[in-house]
Amino acid sequence: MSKHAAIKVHNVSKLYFKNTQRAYSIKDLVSQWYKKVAHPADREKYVKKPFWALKNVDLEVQAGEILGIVGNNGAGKSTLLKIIAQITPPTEGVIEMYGRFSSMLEVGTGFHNDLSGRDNVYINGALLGMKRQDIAKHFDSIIDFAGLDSFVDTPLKYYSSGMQVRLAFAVAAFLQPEILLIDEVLAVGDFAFQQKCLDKMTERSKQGITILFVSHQLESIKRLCTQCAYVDGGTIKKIGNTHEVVDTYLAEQQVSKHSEHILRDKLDKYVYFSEIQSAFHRTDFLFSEAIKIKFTLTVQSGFSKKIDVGYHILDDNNKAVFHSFKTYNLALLTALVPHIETVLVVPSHTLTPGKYYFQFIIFDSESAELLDKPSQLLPITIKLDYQITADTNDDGIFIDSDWIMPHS
Amino acid sequence: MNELYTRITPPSRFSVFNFRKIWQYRELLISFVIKDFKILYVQTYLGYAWAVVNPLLTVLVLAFVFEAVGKVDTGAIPYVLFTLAGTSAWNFISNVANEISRSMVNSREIITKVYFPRLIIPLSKVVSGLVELGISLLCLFVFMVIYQFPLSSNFVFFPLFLILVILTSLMVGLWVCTLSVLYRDFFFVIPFILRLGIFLTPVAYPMSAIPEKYQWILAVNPLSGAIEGLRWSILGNYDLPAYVGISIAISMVLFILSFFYFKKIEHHIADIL
Repeated sequence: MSKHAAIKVHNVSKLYFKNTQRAYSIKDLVSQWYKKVAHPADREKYVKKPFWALKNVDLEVQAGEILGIVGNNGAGKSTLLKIIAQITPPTEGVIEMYGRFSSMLEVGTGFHNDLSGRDNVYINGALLGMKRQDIAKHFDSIIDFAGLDSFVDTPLKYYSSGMQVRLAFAVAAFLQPEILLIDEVLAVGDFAFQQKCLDKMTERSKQGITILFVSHQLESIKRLCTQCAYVDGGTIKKIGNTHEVVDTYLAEQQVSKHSEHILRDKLDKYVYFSEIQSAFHRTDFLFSEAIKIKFTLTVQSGFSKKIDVGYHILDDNNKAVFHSFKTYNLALLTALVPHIETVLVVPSHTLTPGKYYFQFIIFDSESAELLDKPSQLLPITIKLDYQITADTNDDGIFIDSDWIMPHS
Repeated sequence: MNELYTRITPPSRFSVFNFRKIWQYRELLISFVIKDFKILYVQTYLGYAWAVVNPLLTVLVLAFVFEAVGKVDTGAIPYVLFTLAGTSAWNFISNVANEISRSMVNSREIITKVYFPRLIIPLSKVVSGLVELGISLLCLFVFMVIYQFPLSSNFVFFPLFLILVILTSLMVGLWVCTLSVLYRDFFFVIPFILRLGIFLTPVAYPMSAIPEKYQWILAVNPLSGAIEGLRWSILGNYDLPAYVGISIAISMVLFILSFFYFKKIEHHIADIL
């Protein structure tokens, strides 16, 4: 296939209104109007707050390319895909697409539990824009790909969730569009089937179809995509070689997320961590010593609920390895308010040598509502202070055990 | 899948309906209709027979009640036939309106995930309703044979009034659909209006049966023209009442407005739902 642009995004922006108390019923409409008139002081509460989910995005995807899109939650990835898929219109800008396109923002859309696998394949196919005779032509391959030969006429409600996902993906995989938009669909299904799907998509792209692929699974992005775009705060921050972009994305995540001295000022929250710091500004601790971390909670006056203060310890791969919680009854701590200082002691011989990140959180004990979660993590490195022959990096947990031997 | 070149721009205030696009999606419309039917009758013993039994039972009950109780002067037309013709059209319009009012919210999952012209959903409900209308009208013809009542010479106008009934149902449906997407109060208002509306529409009585000073209500009721007209084209051995013209004119103006209103919110449905 000759190289030409399949998707051209020119200067696209999308405006949403945040915090609007949208009227869902006529009663709301009337009461909002009344409040506006009766309490002009509160007016600001009802003023729409604009929020640009996307701002001046330019993007060009060549035919036959697989473009991965990465970025944090709320960065605008899905909004971009929804606009390209024509589900929601852009506020500004123009998008041009050359070729038949089909969106698969979620596999299995429109599946109905009471209908058979066969019926659902036809309905799903029609939704994705396939003609009935095309579906019929591919029907056997679809069922075969999903491995559901003997369940074709069984109602979907008797399928296992894995079977449903396989069926849903199989329909999508056999679509014949020239541009395919995929939003985080591989998160489901077992590993073997995921691999099968990735292979199928690679195969399809070799036939010249263009794929836009949004995912948080960086491994899939690296494996599949020829190009990658990093979206942040509604704009495209970097676009180009997949590995480079993914690395930039990861690196920025690290930089922005870690701080040896977390200091937060005047947040509009009932209770939050205003300061977190390890004792004596140390970030390196020995395996044989306890880790001491000092933090300060700032409590809004009048807030006297029970809260659970806790932390997660994440390893280098962002995986939580330990956690701990302590309930603070603020009603009994009024003498300390508004600033409650605490020194946290994590026992020695707990974390094996390596790099860790402490993520602090506060929950409401009763409602389990998340009250605070600083985006910055506190990095702590554990070093080995004496030589032992056993490879301590091998397994996760070191248990400080008593070794009692008979007296000789 | 769409045409080979697509251009997406912010919605313009004055865009018109792209009927070609809707034609392209006809297969989806049919698939929605089939899906609705299958879901409705799945796990029933009688299955699709309910599609016939249901309207048939309604007609029989109505026929019995009106024959035994009702004594409204309907001229030369037997009262049963008069009412059957009226209720066939009325039931069609009110069922379609009811179905459409919830259809958008019920289809939220697909609307927020897949692109297709949103008008396909209300259109599919109209097509589904046509099956029941067809069966009701068949029952009417059977009763006409039983009563040995001759088919009206106005029958040449039947297709015209059938189309009017269909357009009226779509008009009501689009208003209902748009309003209930914006304000869900209409979920509760619509059944009420429909229950009341049957009395303000010449379904079970002719215009002549009500006092003259209230007759204007029938004229401004956008549903009465299509219903009276359909009856006249099947049974009419009288002149078409003049108020039918006013009612149909109102109905068609509302029809055009309903399209513009629907068009206005169509793009934003996915954001609102």
